[in-house]
Amino acid sequence: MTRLGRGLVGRLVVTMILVATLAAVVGTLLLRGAALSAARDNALASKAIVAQELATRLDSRLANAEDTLRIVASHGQVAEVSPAAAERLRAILRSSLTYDELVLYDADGNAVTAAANAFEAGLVDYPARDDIAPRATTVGFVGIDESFPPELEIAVPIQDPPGSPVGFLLARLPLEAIALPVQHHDAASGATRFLINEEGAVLVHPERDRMLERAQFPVDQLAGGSGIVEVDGERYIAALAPARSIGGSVVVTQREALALAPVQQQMIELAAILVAVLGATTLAVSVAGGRMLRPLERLSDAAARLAAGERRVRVGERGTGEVALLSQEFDRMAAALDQRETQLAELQRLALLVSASVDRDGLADDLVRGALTLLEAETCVFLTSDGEERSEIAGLAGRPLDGSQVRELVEPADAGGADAHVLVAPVTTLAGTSIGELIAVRPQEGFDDDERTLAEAYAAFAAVALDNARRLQLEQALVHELQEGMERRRMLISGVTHEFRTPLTCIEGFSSELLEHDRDYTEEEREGLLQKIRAHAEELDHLVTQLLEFAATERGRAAPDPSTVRLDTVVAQEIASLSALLGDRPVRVDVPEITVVADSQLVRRVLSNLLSNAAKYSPPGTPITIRAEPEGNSIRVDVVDQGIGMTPEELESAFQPFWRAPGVLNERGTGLGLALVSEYVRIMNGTLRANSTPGVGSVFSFTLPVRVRELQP
Amino acid sequence: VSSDPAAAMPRERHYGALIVDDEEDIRLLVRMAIERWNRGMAVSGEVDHGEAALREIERVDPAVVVIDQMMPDMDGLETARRILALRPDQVVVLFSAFLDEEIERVAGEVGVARCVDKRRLQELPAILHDLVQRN
Repeated sequence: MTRLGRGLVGRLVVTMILVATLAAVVGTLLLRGAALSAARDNALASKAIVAQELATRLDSRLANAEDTLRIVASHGQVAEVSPAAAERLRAILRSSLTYDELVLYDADGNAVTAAANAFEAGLVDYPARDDIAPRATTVGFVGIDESFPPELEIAVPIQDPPGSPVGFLLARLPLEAIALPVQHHDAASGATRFLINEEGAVLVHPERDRMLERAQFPVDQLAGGSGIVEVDGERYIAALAPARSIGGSVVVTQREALALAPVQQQMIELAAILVAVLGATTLAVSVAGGRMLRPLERLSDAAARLAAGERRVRVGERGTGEVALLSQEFDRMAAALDQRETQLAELQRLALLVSASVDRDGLADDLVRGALTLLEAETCVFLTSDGEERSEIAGLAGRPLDGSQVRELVEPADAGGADAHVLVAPVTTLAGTSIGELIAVRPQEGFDDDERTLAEAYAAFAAVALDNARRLQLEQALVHELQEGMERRRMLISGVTHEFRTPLTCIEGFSSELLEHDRDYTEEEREGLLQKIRAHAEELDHLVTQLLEFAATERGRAAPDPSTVRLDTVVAQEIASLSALLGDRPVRVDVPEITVVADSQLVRRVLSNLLSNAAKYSPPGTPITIRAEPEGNSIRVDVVDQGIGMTPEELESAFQPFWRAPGVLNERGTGLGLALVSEYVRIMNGTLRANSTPGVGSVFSFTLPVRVRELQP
Repeated sequence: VSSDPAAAMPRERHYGALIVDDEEDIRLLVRMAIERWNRGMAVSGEVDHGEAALREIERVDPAVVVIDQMMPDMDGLETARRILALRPDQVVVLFSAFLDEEIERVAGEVGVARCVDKRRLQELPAILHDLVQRN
């Protein structure tokens, strides 16, 4: 359960419990008070009745005892107050359970005769009784302070004739004999009946056996005859009724706690029932509340998750209740938030792309894929445009479209209002240059204004990204070019240094050897070393010449000095002069005896460079061919080798000054040979061509203009 | 030159050098310098390109290899790299007409013991000797 749910249900339950508990406590207390009061009153009333009834019964029993005694006193020797009445008295004692002793007194109060149940009574046991007037029946207690329970004395007058007292008959009997009904105790109910005298001293008590001394009942606490008395901290319900004939009172008591116990019990049961009802209600409220609150909880939970930044939060509550409708509204809101977040994330992703992307082609694909997600389109196309003309599709994502379909989308045939299903966002740099258009198509649902705004923002990002990528590409190309230039320069220096250093080292080495160790060599050996020195010197001369020539062509050489030249002769001369360089490579010559008009020095330079090139780039032993044949108004000369050859790209650069084939970077040479050839052929109004296949060989061809009449002398 | 000008010189052959250079005359000069110097070092082999050096080195087992940098097909540094891949402890000297920081850097990476400019031909034997002794 969520915090909200717990809170609501919890508060409801707590409130209910508080209210119900308060009601239960107050109700129980009120009820209890009333019930206790009523129970107390009832108990008091019933006690008073019982006490009254018992008092009446005691009076009646005493009256009976008096009557019996009067009957005894009215007969025979007893009536005569004769000592002979003893026998009669004993007989009566034997038949009566009531009396303990019977004593016959004369009118002066002296004992005449006596009988006792417990002992052989003698007159000496009965002193004179002047306290008793022999004219009326008297009742009194004997030895109330000495014995407990006390004995009762009843004296009835004997008159003969009536009105003339001659004596009296006194009977002693245990008070209990009269007060038997009063002696009652019920442990279960805590009810006790007993007899007290006027001062409150207990005369007869059912628990007398357990009483060690005479107890005193607080009569002063019972002013109205009934009420609550408190003895030794215990409360009693008590009622008192005087038994006048005895001169005492009957007391009926009950321990209040026990008297009210049933009521208390009922109260407890009532409270238990209340608690049970309360518990059941709380449970019911809790369960029902929880069930009622569950949708609300889910809503609250979803809101909390949404607030915490969670995506794709939905309540998913169906139905038509208020909470369900609220939930559905929430879901719609969350969905809208999701969409907006997705769009923002896509924009953000693109912004990152802007700073990270270097690959322009890959970027176009990324852009359309991003737009497809962002705009939830079926197809997205990025059309690049170069000025006026619409050009190619640079990127496409989603359902494929061909070029004509795209054109149709961008320029609808009816040219009416914009088609809501097609979105065209111009991609324009910050400087205002159009790079192209971003087109999104969504046949099932038109684009709204928000989406068009979003697409424009996206297109602005795209423009920056593409512009950056283009600039980076240009920068990289520039850096690459600079690096290549530096490397070329380094290779040139390296190559030229090597070209000069090698012959110089050789010249220096061999000449030192000859100067210092001349005698170590034979004449023939010395000759050999000197030949080497000369060859290296010539090589140096060739190098210097080549460089100077190049410098001259760079400055703009003077016009050639044409003359008639026998081509076959020039070729033969040049092969002879290059014999050392050509080595064992066989040279096939297929040149007709032909005369051209050209600068003979330049023709020799061209041939020299092409032949040394062929030698340089072909393995020893492979043949080199020189052939010439007419071509229109010119003659074409081919120099054919079976060397390492060149790729088309290498061939394109081969005539650049200082360029050298990558595979032979360390071959000796300045990289000037072909550049010079090209220049020389150009100033002789000829053309230069080259064909080459890597691994097979190269053919360099140049043409020279021919004068027809000189071709056919 | 068909005969060996240094062949008549008295010498002790304690260890050999392999010379790798496409220029025949440079090889001859290096040989002459080494044999003229004559301190127990001799030229035990000569080849004119890198591939040949890789074959020859196993046969002659030289104490030191002198390699020219500028050679067709396989340059000196590449030749040195392959030699050192096969024989990591081999003493290799790059003997070049052109030396710059880039070549020195690559040579250091490859494991070349020393780069020597071709102008210092006369000092070459002493340098080789020193390197071999140190090794």
